[in-house]
Amino acid sequence: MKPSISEQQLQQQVATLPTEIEPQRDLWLGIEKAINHPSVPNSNRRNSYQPTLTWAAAIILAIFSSWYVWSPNPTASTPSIAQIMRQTFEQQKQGLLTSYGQANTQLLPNLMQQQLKELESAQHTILNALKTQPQNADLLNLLRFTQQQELKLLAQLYQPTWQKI
Amino acid sequence: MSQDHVTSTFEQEQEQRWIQLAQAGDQQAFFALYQLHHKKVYALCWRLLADKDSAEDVCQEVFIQVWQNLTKFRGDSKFSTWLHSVTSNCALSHLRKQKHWLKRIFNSEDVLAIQSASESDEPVYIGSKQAHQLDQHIAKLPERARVVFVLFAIEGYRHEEISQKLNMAVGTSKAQYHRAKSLLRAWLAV
Repeated sequence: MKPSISEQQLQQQVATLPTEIEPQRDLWLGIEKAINHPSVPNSNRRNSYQPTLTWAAAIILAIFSSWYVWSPNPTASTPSIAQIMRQTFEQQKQGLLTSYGQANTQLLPNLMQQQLKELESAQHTILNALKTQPQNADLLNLLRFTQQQELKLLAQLYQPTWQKI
Repeated sequence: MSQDHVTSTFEQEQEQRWIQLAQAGDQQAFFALYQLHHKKVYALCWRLLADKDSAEDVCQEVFIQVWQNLTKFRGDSKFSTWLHSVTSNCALSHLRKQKHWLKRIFNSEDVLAIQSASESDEPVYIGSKQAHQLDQHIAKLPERARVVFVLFAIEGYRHEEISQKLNMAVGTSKAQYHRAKSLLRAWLAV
C-alpha cells in the first residue's frame, strides 16, 4: 500500500493555500488597451511582441529550426529551439501583416477570427508541453505545423480579391 | 462596534462607490476594482488552468468582460461572487476551446502526448516564485480531477453546481474529486 497523508492533513494544507496570487506581469495595460479600443484583437493584448526584425533573419531562423527538428542528433539547447521557433513565427506573422499594410484581423469574419484564436490557443498548449519535454521532436513538429497553418490562413484571408478570382 | 467591522463596512461602501462610478464609465474606479480583486481572480485562473500564460490571458479576459457587462450587475449578489462566477466561466471556456482545437487538428494520441507532457515532476513556478507545495501538486493533477478539486475543495462549490458547469454527472464529479484527493494524499506523503 502506498504511503499517503490523512484526509484531515490534506484539508489542513488546503486551508493554508493563499487566496491571492500576484501575476508576474502587469495585466492592467492590456485590459486598459482593450476597453479603450474594443477592436483590439486578443493576440495584441500581450506587450511582448516586437515586430521589427527582417524577413532575412526570419528565413535563416526558420531553416535553422527545421534543420534542428529533423536532425537525428540534436546538440543545441532544446528549450531555446522552441523559443526560436516562436520568435521566427512571430516575425513571419508580423512581416505578413505588415506587407498587407498593418492589416486589422478584427475586420475579418467572426468564424475566421475564431479560427485564428483557436490556432493561437493550440500553439500555446504545445509550447507549454515543450517546457517539460523540450526534446520531444513530435511536439516540435506539432508546433511547426500549427504555426504554418496560421500563416497559411492569414495569407489566404488577406489575399487580394483579384487573386482569388 | 469593533474596528474590524468599521473597516469592513467602509471597504464595502468604497467598493460600492467604485462599482457605481465604473458603471457610469469611470475607468479610474474600474482600475480600483481591478486592484482590489485581480490577485484573487488570477489565483483562481492559475489553479484551474495550471498555466501562467493562460491564467494571465484569462484574467485579462475576465476584467474586459466585467467592464463590458458591468451595467448588468444590479447588486443582487456581492460583486466578488459575480466576479468569481465570471472568472470560473471564462477559465472553463478557455479549457474547452483548447481541447476542442487540439482534437480537431491532431489525432487523439497526439492530444494525449501533449497532455501527459504537461503533467511532469518539475517544480511549478508562478513567475520567479515557487508555488505553494499543494498548488504544485494540484497543477500536476489530470485536468478534470484538477478542476473538480479546485472548485469543490478550494472554492466551495457543490458537486451539483460543478456537474452543471462541467456538463458531467454528479457521480462523475464526486469520482474525480476522490481521484484528485487520492493522488494528492499520496504525492504529499513523499
